[in-house]
Amino acid sequence: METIQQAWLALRDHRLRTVLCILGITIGVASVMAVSTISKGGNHVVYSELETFGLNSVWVYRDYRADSPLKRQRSGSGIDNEDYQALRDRASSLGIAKVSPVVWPNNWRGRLKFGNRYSDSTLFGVNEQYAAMVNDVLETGRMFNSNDINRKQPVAIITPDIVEKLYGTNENAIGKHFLVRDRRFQVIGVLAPKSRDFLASIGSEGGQNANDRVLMPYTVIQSLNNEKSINNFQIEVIEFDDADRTGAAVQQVLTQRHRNRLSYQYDTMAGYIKTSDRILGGVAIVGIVAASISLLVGGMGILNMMSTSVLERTREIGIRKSVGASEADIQRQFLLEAVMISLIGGALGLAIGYISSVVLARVTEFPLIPSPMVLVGALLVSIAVGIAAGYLPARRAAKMHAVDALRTD
Amino acid sequence: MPHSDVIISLRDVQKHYEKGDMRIPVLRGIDLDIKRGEFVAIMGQSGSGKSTLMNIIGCLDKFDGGRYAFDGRDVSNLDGNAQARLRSLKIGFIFQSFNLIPQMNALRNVELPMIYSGRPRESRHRMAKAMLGMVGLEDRIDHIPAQLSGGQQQRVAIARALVNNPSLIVADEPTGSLDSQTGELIMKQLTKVHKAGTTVLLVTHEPHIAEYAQRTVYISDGKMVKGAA
Ligand SMILES: Nc1ncnc2c1ncn2[C@@H]1O[C@H](COP(=O)(O)OP(=O)(O)O)[C@@H](O)[C@H]1O
Ligand SMILES: [Mg+2]
Repeated sequence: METIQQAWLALRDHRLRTVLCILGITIGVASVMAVSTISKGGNHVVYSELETFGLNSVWVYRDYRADSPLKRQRSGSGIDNEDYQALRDRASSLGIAKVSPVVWPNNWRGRLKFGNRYSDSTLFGVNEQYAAMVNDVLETGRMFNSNDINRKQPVAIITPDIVEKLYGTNENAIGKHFLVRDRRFQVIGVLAPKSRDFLASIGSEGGQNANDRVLMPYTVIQSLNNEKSINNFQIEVIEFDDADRTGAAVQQVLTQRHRNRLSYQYDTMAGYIKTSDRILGGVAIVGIVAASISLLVGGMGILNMMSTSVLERTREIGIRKSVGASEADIQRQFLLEAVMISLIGGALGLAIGYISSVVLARVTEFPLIPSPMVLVGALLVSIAVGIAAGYLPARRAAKMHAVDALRTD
Repeated sequence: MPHSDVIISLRDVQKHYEKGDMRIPVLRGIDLDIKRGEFVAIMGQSGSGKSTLMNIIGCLDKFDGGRYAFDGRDVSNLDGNAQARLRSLKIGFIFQSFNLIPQMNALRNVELPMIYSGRPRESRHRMAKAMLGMVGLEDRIDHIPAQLSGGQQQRVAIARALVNNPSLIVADEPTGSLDSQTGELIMKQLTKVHKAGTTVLLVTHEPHIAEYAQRTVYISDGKMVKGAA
């Protein structure tokens, strides 16, 4: 207690120097905090958007890559309705929870017309399980069912953006019609809007605007295409960890069914997540290293200040020893001064880091609130910096020869 | 004389300084006994080794040869911690240049030894005030050294030397920086300390200051000598 007061008095005697050192640590701690919070927030954002594709997703499609040995023996997508049936029959042994064919328009545009209004939208065919797999939720209406699929009913699920383009705002679209290739479709459901701001902002949406989509029974798109081919499978695996195994097994089933004349490939969400973890982790490490350097510089500031202070106060150290201070007393005093600087700096850095991340979170709507772990960590780190920077000067002060110290002026 | 009457006993104490490769002898075998409660003046020319001797007696410095017993206990080989403990509890220093901490007021300067001897805050405060009152500075307790005259600073130093109720006061030319009138005042104060039962060791090169002591010993070129050199 007494020592704390003495340390405080000593620091007050060198206000400017102390403030500069405190500032150094403040900047260091604030930037370490900012970087770790932002990278954590970034992780969260990426995760929550990847989640909108279904974390257990596996995509299987024909391998068109140039180095594929079976590349161009036959044209077409290489997947048909019998393949789909085969996967469904063996779903559980393949580790498949749900599977949907995905059928794209071949050589025609997904233009929806209603009177003189129209919408050029991403239009594709799937089965009744697809929406649940990619975490799509209906805002109103119903999903098409296997009956609609088997009977090739001209029904569609659309997004609110399309509702607005075709029918205007605040219109209940359920039961309304539109034309595609002169065929009349009925709207049976409207999807809830989806947030993919982050992916859209880095251009990863691949031209598919999540909020401008039309889902139809795949059989309907096949009949518009005039061929019974499937572009790819969207699969939800039972176990997240089995994504690769299921992907490979489906790949093998397809290859065998096509008598080894075609090859297939697959992607897994698990793989994408791993990649994104690696990239974000790398970014975080670079950021934290950079921020740590500023903390290191702050520590050097303290080291420098304490070294100067010990030299300047040589006589004081001699006096203290002459009235009975032990080496430990002197060392504790100087160490405490260093830790006080770094702790004050750390607390300020913490406050600045916390406030700015809260403000940033408000502005960007990214979840950037630092965890208690980060807060405690920042304080511990600043204490550690103080001890590390103060140790040598304090040691030097403690070891000072009392008589020599008293002789200096 | 009975052993317990002797508070300081030096036998063949030697001290060298290293200057490059050279060993410069400063104390060349000091024999000295001081009785408990004595007031002894040490005289000698500048550079004769008086301060070096006082620092050794005050356990502020180490020596290279010989034996030193303080209060009947051999302290020749004490480690730094034990030395600090001894200084804290048994010894009070008074220096020619006062050696107050410039940023601290009189009260805090006087409190300092009690911080290291571990006295609780309340009693520390009370004791420091009482001591400053005893040296006639009750109205100066919140003055920093720069706001005090030389004589006043030395009185603060005396108060500081006495707060832990030491058995030995080591005063190295306490009047050396003061005019003669102020010097007399300081010496009266030291005499009072001695009268109260404390052993006082005084270094001076002024004969009229030495006269305050009961006994004067002489040092010359690192050795005790008989009579003034
Ligand atoms: N730290 C030191 N290094 C080298 N020589 C020293 C040191 N301290 C004292 N001396 C030398 O030791 C001698 C005695 O010094 P000191 O004890 O201060 O003498 P006095 O107090 O009698 O004037 C002097 O010659 C001085 O130069
Ligand atoms: Mg001297």
